[in-house]
Amino acid sequence: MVHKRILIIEDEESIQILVKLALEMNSNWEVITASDGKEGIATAATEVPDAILLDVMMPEMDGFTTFENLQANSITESIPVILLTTKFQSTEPKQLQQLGIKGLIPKPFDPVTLENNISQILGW
Amino acid sequence: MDIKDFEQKIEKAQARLENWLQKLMEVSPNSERLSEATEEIMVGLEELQVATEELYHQQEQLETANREAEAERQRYLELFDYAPDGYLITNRWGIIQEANLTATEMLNRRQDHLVGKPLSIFIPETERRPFYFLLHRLRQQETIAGVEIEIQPSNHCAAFTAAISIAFVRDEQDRIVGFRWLLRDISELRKAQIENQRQQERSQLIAEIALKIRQSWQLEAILQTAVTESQKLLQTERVVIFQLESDNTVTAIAEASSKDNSCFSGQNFICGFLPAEHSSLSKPQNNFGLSQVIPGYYFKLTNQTQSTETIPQPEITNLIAPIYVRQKLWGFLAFHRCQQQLPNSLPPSPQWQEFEIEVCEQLADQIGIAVSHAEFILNMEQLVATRTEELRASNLKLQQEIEERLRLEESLRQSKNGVYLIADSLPILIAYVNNQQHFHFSNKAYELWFGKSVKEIYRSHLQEVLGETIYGQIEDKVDTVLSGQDVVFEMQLPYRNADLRWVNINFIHHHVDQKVQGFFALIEDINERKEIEQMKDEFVSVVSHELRTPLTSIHGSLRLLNAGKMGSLEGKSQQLVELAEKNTDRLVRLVNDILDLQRLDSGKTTIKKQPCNTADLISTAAETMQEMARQQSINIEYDPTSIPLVADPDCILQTLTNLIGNAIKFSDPNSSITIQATERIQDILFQVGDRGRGIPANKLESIFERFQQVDVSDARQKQGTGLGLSICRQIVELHQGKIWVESIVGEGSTFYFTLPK
Repeated sequence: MVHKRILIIEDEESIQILVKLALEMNSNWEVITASDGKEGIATAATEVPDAILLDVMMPEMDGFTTFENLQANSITESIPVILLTTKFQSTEPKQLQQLGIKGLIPKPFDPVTLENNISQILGW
Repeated sequence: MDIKDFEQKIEKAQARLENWLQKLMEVSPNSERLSEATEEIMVGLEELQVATEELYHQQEQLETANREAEAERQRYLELFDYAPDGYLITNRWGIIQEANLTATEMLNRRQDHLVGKPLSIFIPETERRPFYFLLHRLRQQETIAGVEIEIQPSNHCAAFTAAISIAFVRDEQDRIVGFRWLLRDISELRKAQIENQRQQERSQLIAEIALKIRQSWQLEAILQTAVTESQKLLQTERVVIFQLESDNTVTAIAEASSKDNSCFSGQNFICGFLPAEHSSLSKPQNNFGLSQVIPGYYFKLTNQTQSTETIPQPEITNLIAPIYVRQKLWGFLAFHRCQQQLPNSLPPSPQWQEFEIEVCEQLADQIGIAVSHAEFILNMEQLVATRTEELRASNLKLQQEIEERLRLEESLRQSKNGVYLIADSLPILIAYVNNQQHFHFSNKAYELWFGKSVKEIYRSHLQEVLGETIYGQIEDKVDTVLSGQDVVFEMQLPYRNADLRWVNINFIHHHVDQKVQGFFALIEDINERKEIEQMKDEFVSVVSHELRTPLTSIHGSLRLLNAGKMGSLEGKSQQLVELAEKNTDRLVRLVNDILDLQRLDSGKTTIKKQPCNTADLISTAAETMQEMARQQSINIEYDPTSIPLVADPDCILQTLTNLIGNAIKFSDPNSSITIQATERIQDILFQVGDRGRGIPANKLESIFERFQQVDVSDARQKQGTGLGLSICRQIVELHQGKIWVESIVGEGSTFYFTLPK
């Protein structure tokens, strides 16, 4: 299985742990965590992960602002972003695509199938 | 001197002249003077001859004239004698000197007995003084004309009235020597005049009777007046009015008697005088000449059993005239007179005077008219009485209605006041605006909101009260409601020209005969509700998010544990983890459904319609639910017919999966559920049917309410949240569709919903 590095930007520690457990358990994927937007942007720029899982509802800087900042940075702009969101914060998939967001994984997600979901969205 | 004597004398003188001439000729035959004289004498003689002849001629003429005069005189005398008027000549003292034949007849004396008698002896003593005075006036040369004097020829003869004309007789010196009297006996004329006057008086009396008769409207009074007056007029012993009964008997209904003994009144008689020609009982063209004089018999009382003969009463004579009322024989007017009671002035005959018959008929006629009038009036009175009664009844009814109406008005006023009171006490702004956009009514709440008194608002234009800005915002809504379409909308309205507050505005049009007269403008302050809604939304949103995050962790952890990703668990641990995961699933669904419903309720979920088709929607839904169905060993059958429609596919999918999920949950294993879509005239009908346990009739409606399930244990046992059908209904209704269920307990249920094309 291909090694992948995934950055999760999520203010909730339990979710960070869950994602880390779910993705690192069976594969050789590596999960890097960031607890807010600002940290996430910095981490993404230094680590340049293969994909970013971005929580939408975060204090201080929300997911969309964080995404805009990522897009504004040439280092991070090409990193595919998947939004982790509660169901009804979702906008139209087409609009997301236009924004450059690759996909959307609604919370609560199934950790067992999370890896598959991400691979499917990103075409890995 | 006779003309012949004169002639002879002339002839004699002539002869003597001639003789003398002869003698002269003899004496002196050649005397020239003599000859001349002779000649002259001869001429004279000839002239005398001519004159004599003329004289003869004149005498002849005179004689002729005399003869003519004599003839004239003779004629005059004849005329004088046979003239219809008496002619007398008296001297200045009234001594008769000449009298014509008529005068002698008038004065009943021979002509020669008259001459030399004073005219005054023919004047009754009582009239003599005026006569002397008349003579005196005549002697004073006073012209007198048109005088009537009474003449009494002798004690045996009846006096008569004479109209006299008097002329003066004058001598050569034009002195009055006497008078010419022209006498005309005018007693006949006077009689005629008197008769005429009596006739007139009778006519007058009849007219008066008629008037009296007609003055009364009471039949009884009319008839009594008629008989009383008739009896007085004709001076008969008795006058009776008989009314003809239906059996051709008659009843005396009015009676007047000279002796005040009413012996007929009220009695019924067999009519002894009903003539045959009256049998038709209808009035002939002319009423006159119908009366008859019936001497010798009368009529008999019907109750007189001992004798059926008519009662012969030879001394009585009856005059009976039929009375017709409206062309029909109604009865009789009977005059009854005893011969011995006849007044002296009338001849002692059983025959009635012609005028009496005439009067009788006229009276009968008048009575007929009066009776007709009276009956008419009686009839009218009855009609009037009936009508009055009707009117009284209707008046009473009207009165009652008026009272009722007054009561109603009072209660209406009270209820109106009540309505005003209620309107004023309501927190809602209530107003009526006419189609010219002027306020006609507004309640207290308007006053409070706009800071204007009810009086100020009354008849003011909308724009004036609301202000230009607000009016601009609602102008189109006003137009809409005035076009006859009610409008409901929410907006922010400044309260007392300050804070903006959310209001719900309801414009309800009011029309009369298809014409919009105005509209009711109801404004409800929903600001607090709005704020609460907002708070609720925020609360639900925050809560769901805050729930969701720990749920995600819990659910994910349990999922990982249960999936054995963290190493296998022991039997009981595994069981507990499974239980925890299952319930966490349910909790997640519940939170999701609550969020769904809250968003649908709050209108935050907008329907995003786009073209799609039934086949795609149904197959996607069926495939989504395939795994669940498979777990329950249930077969999903669906109709692949593609019907195009415009809808929000996500929402419709959610609805379909919800319904399919329910169908699976409540179906027995190894049964089928069917999904179908049908195109109808106005909409598309979706159906999801199962062969499950069915829904009792009393639950068919309520299952669409939140947390309403057929069985309270279903939420636990069937993993439902109790919100699915509510969400379905919200979605369908947002699409202007309908949703319902038909079910037979024990056989299955079919859920239907429609979407407009």
